[in-house]
Amino acid sequence: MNGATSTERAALAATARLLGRLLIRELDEATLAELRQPEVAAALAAAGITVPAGEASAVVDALAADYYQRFITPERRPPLIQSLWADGQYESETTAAVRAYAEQAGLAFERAIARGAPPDHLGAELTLWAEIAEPWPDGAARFVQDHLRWAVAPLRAQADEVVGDGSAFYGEVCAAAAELIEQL
Amino acid sequence: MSNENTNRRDFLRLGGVLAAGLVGGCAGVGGNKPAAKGDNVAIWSKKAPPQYDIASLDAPGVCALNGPGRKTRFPDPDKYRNVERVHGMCQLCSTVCGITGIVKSGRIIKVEGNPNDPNSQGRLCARGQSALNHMYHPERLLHPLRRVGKRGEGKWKRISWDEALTELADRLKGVRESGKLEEFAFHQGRNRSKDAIAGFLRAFGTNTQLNHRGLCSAARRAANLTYLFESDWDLGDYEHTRYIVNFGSNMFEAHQGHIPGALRIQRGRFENGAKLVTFDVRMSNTAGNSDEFFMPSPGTDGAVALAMAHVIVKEKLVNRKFFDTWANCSLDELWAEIRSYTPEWAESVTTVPADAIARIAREFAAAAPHATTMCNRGSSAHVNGYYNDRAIGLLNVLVGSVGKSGGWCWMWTGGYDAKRFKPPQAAPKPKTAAPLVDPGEFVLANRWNTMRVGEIVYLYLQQERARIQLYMSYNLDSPLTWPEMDVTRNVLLDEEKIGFHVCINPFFNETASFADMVLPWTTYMERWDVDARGAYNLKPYLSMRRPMVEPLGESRDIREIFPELSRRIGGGMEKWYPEARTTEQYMAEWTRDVPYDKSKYDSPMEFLAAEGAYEDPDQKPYFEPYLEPLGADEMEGAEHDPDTGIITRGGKGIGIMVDGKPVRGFKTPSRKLEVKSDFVARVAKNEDVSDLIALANSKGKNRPAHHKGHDYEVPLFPTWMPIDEHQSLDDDQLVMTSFKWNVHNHGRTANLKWCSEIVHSNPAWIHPETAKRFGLVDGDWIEITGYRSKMIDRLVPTFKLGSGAIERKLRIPVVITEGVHPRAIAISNSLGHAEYTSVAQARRKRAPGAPVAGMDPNGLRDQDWERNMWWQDDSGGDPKQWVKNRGNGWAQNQVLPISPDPISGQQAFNSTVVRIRKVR
Repeated sequence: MNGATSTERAALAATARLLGRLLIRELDEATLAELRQPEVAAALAAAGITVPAGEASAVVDALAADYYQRFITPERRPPLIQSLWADGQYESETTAAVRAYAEQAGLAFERAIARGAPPDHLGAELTLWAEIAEPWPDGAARFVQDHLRWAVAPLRAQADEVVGDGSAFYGEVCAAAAELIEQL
Repeated sequence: MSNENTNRRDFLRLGGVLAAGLVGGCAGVGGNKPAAKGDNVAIWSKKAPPQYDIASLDAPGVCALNGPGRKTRFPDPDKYRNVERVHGMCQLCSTVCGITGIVKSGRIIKVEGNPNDPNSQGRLCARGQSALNHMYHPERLLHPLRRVGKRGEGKWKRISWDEALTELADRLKGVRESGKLEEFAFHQGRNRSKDAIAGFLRAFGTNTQLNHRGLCSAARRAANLTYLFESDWDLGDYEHTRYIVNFGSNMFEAHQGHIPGALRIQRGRFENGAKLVTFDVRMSNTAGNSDEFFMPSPGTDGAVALAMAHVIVKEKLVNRKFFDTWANCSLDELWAEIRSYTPEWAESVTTVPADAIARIAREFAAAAPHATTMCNRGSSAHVNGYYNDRAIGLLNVLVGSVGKSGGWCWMWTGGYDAKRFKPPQAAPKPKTAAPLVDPGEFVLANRWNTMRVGEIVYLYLQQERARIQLYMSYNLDSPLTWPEMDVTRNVLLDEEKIGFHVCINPFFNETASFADMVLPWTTYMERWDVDARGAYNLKPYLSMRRPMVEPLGESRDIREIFPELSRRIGGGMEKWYPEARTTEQYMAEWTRDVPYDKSKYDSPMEFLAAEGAYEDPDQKPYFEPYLEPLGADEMEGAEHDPDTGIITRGGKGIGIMVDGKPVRGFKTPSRKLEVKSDFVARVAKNEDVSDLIALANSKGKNRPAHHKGHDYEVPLFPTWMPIDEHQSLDDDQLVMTSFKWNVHNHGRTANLKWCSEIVHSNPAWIHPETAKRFGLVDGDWIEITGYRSKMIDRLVPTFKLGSGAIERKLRIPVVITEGVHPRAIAISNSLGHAEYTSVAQARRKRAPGAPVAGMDPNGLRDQDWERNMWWQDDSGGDPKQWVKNRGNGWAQNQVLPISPDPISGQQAFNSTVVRIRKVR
């Protein structure tokens, strides 16, 4: 992200926040409605994410099962949590390292909002990066190396995989997240 | 689906839209748009002013990550600096040893034994050492799940706790409204939160609390209770003994008292010169480390014991003073019963040489009173298990070692003294009948405490003797550990028999796979309990389990779930769970009377946090309780029967006159050790025994009104009962026995990678002579067919099990070893999981099998096993391709019949007749 303007940083941070949030917990109807706003939907489509059509509650239910298969059950591969991918366990030293970044940035992790995910869940990491991208560019740059790059390969694998009823949404979210990380 | 063409401009455009606040929360912490109704609340919030300093960001220790975060110091000299030590109690087996978690930055980095625990004294087995595998397992269950496909289909979605509790409360309200309270069934595996569970079920109004006692220690308890009228197990004073005769107990590897018992046995041997003699059908680590080891035929331990008794009586080695005072029969009466049980007879039954049996009997008697028997499932988990253990108990009576230092003892209070340290008040016990809990066929089940016959639960449901509207399973893996896997699975799948199933567990196990809802339970390192186990110091103690760290994910303990559920159900349940009381306050109330040093601590809780356990320094060991004098106040108004010596008050037995002095005696109807048991014989006939219960004045129960008459002939005296189906085995038949390893419990440790790397494969043990007969060599495969018990079918015809073959067969390789009796085939339990994490299934590669493109397989993933799980079986189930010591083992319960000992309901894990054939 070298050479990015403040506006560009803010924009990438906002994108990271959205993708982080979509990865850390299931889509709900309120958020779906926001994503369906024409301007947002068009921007998402340009970024490779098609907002699912159909009756909202049915869409949310179907995506919840998809989300479970992709991101919660370890049946296919571990959830998108860095300590699982790096060290094969929860709460490894990578988790402590993410906490250290947050500590320095004066940020508290809202565990309940994150549905109990640890701070080194990719969704939490993307949103943490978003928080430090502008005020702490050096830290953000190193954070990308230490805590985001790991996710590119698992995200790509998710993107290439069809699960559940075949909905493309989360695959596209993963592809976009991988692409974003590579561009940071 | 790929959006590889997405470029920076697209992201900037998207970000621009989002930064404008069109989607809540995307503008950042304190962004310019309020959160929407849904999840649009920031994941990170402002906590403190930032102190950006990139130089101080090195994480401690070693990190396998490539890149700048990679650490190079190993071992880390600072690893144990700035740590907190939090005491707790293990729960990876039933022994509940004291543990200490070493906590750093909110993470447990090591678990070790707590030396302050009076029972385990700082020792911890391999299971306990693997606590971190349990706690931080990459496949832990961390969120409530709701089934979205058919039951058993494997389709789930994550739900919130609010959704889960709302649905559960509605369903439980429905059960209450139906008036069939007993149709809410709670089924526990290992339960160390007894107060919480009992409190919830009582408040609800159901007595259908199912447990696994029938699969554990029912026969042994029933035998002990026959002599003592007291529950719980015997606890030999091994540390001070001079002689231990062990009938099939594997204390050095797996036992309810495993580490504390093994520790004291070894002290007894190496500090006190004690001798350990083991009779076991298989050479366990205990047998192999004994001073002498004999291998009897399966199910004949009682015959060895009776022959020893014969020698002791015949050769006048009996402690006459003790026997004449405390046995409820004369020696002549007993001799008449056992005179035919000669060592030569025993040799013909057991294959153990007669002269060895006689010599051991003499040695045992000579060491008395510092002599004790030891037994467990090896002798008791048989169709004739009750008789085996009752015969074994007789030896202690004859040599007068009962309740003596170095002898055969027991804890009448259990691990901790619940009368001294009472849990906060709970709802009273309801009177709802519970046919699943109290089956009518079994003579001694439920006659004292709740000795439930767990293994019949699914059979009863299959036979439609009961139905369950809501089934709550807890820390239970019955599809793997219960006999007749197919019965269990079919019933769990049947929504007519089990209306709704909620499974509470820290991992997605086999039981969870058959549930409708799964709730993530905390581990024993994340929750509260007051606990203690049978104490080998023979003094009660009290220990505390407490959260070492915050629970992972959204896992919750039942101490949180039940209050919330009760408040939602309402109808009076909520009054037992005051809103304002936290779990910690509940624990403080429970332990308020624990003495502590006021100069060091401010409260019992602070003391327990610092020490982890309390043992009363003034408490004397539980020796010779029967000699405790009756006080003058107790004797006031008491009557004394000059013929029997029994002292009663108000028609209830309180003691006995011994040498002209009133003492407590035993809590039996005779106030003596009941070598001759009228109680059992009459109960077996379903007769009214209220007169005996009054004299016992303890926990014995009269016949329940709903029991149908059973008409068993249970002899008055200890005897040995041959097992029908063992008497005429065909040439291709053997007796299948089971066992546990020193790194596993029955169904909950195969997920621990450190343990599973040590033991993950369990071929069948076969003796070389047997192998020769079948033409088998090491590594050959056999097919096993299991048969139901003829003896049970004869004695319990109402059970309608029959004595035929179980339909499912088991194919398994063999290991040829002299460590098993020629008539037996030994297969361990614990292994053969179909769920319970990829470690338990020995799956290094995940289901799709494809490596993640772009990952560096040498630089990422778990170094402990992801790259080192060398035992994955790639044979695809083809015996010819199978490589020794590969795979995750075989579940014995595929061919293990439901076999409850008709007396106690004990599952006969070690009695199954099987037919084997070589797989070509």
